[in-house]
Amino acid sequence: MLENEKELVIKSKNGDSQAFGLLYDHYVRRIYNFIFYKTYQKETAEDLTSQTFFKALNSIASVDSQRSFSSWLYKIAQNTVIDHYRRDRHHADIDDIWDISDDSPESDFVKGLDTDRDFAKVKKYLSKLPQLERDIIMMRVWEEMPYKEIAEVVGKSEVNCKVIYSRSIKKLRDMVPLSVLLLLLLKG
Amino acid sequence: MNEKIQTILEDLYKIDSSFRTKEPELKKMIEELLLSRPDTKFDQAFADTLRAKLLTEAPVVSPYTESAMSSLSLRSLFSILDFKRVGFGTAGLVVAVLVILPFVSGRDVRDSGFTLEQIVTEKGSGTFGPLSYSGDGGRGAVAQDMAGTEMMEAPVESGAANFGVSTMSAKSAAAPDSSGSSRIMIAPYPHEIIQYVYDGEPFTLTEKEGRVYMRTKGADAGKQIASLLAGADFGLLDLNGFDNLKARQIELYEDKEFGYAVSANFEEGAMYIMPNWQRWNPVAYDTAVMSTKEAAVSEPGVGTSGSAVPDDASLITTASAFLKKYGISTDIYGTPMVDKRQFAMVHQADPSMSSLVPAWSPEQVSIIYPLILGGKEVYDESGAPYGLYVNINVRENKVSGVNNLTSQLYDSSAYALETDVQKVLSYVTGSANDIYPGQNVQTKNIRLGTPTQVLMKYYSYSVNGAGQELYVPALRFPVTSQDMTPYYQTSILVPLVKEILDGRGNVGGGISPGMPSPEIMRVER
Repeated sequence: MLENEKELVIKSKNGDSQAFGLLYDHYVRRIYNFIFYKTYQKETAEDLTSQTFFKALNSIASVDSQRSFSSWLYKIAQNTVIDHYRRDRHHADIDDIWDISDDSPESDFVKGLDTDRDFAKVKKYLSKLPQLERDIIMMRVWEEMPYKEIAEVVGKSEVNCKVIYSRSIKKLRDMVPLSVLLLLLLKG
Repeated sequence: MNEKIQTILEDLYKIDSSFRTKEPELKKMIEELLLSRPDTKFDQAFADTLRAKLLTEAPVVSPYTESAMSSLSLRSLFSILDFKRVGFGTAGLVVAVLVILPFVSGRDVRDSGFTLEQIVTEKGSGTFGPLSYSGDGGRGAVAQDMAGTEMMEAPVESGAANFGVSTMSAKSAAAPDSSGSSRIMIAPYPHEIIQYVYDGEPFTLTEKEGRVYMRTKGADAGKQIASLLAGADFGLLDLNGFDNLKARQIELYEDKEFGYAVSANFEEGAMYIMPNWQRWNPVAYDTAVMSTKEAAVSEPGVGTSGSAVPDDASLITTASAFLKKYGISTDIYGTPMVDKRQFAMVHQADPSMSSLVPAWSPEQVSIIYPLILGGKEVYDESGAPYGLYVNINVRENKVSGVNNLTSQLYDSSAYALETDVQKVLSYVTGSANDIYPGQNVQTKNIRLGTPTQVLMKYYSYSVNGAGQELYVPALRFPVTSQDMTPYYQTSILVPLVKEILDGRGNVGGGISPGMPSPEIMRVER
């Protein structure tokens, strides 16, 4: 979180574009990455990032400055991704790329994305986790975000996030088949 | 890499030391996760371009100026309403102009455009006074349905204070209320007890205070609504000679086939679009003249066959296209969804119907655009998303109405929140025993998942009976499974504001029961 974030939010609410610019500078890469992890396509991630910030800019007057700005912004990003899949891909039950199963008609769509073999590898595990757990793992492991910030983003307490994170890691560990584990161990 | 892995591991050990025993496999797994981190191809040039675009647009965005995306513009609606052919004639038109303009006096409405922005004014703590409705003698909470019809739950037969246990008694309904007014009551149901069972994950409640929002009504709300209407080019008179003209409500209508009527209530700050029934639905419901599609539907007002109902995506597309066409922005709302409760009610009310009409559906389907306020989704007390409702007449495959297009002016104030998880869970899952001691009752389990924090629309009534439309912090427990038929609730809401929660406990309000397919009867006094 930015040190003077609350102040910047209040200024932005009052129409100070430079203040909004500073908020943008702090969050643009984070939001882009967050969206990329859910879409795995550069162009789509850029498009949805643009939509997210335009929505944020146009709704900034309604933000409660006592609340977490990051939580609000990530929520917009999350909803924008969901809209993308539900409206553009006409699937009510797909919230992000991890929800597309390998045997679904949408799997061809996945093949056209900026994925590599690592995607398939990690998808095996991550796609089995609920979205919240997946998001927390990505934010913690891939983005190295502190729990405090993760807590703000997902709207839960820091303690709760830690518990969810550790539980998710446990789940992942249990999911990894023994053969894969042995392989991983031997590889090392 | 090793340092990162070690940091993550140490982190885990702090949370749960038993992880240490699994360090080798965990290390490998985390390494695998880290190696799988995708290259997101973040492009600084893209970020710079977007920044420039945003800042170019930013100056027009302030709490008091028009926002291109968040404004609710009805300009195009009124541009298609051909006022030269509006059915109330010149005299009526004059009246319409008379009543609208005073609300927008002092502003050049044509210059400022038609905006309906969400504006929240922060007030001091406890500004809205006591929120607990404790003077109702133990009746269930008075709720309001989507159309604004006042509904009253059938009284709990025993009058017992019960947390989390909702009862419906065959003997309890149709009791006339004491107000002497005409009320709508929910008809009786067979004797059943609902037991809520919590199946979700452990959770914590850390916030000691939360913002409660009150939608402000009266002159400013009326102005906001009137500003929408004032954009219509009536091409009439200068009314500056009139003083202090006021209006409560007006209705305009299109005098053409499948025309619409627009009703605005300035005091409530609400606007509705509905069919002009005199010119709507001119199809003769005579099977002899029905087209193939029309033949698939039943008699008017009864319902349609399921085969005539488009899929969800098509319904949402139709609704969104209508809103877009008429310039009603959906940016203050979340992802739209089809209100499935209507289907559940009809399907489940009489299972024997399924053999006669395999997929029986209502004639009208609602699309809900859930309101987002203070960054949170808003739900009504029945657990359904609350927001803008677009109705689609399935028979005609046309939008037949837009409900709840309300002014977006709010005051917000801090109130103490409940932080005792056990107390909340007790409220939800309290014992069903002793409601009907010695009687043979049937318990139906409703299983609930992990809650999320939302806002709940809530009416608070002061001593003098004046109502406040509030939006209070609440927990939304999703219904994960249930063994009750019929049943249509998808979630259960529990208000987190301490005094509301405590007040409900005192008067036995409990959780609003999942009223299945209620048969509505009007009790005339």
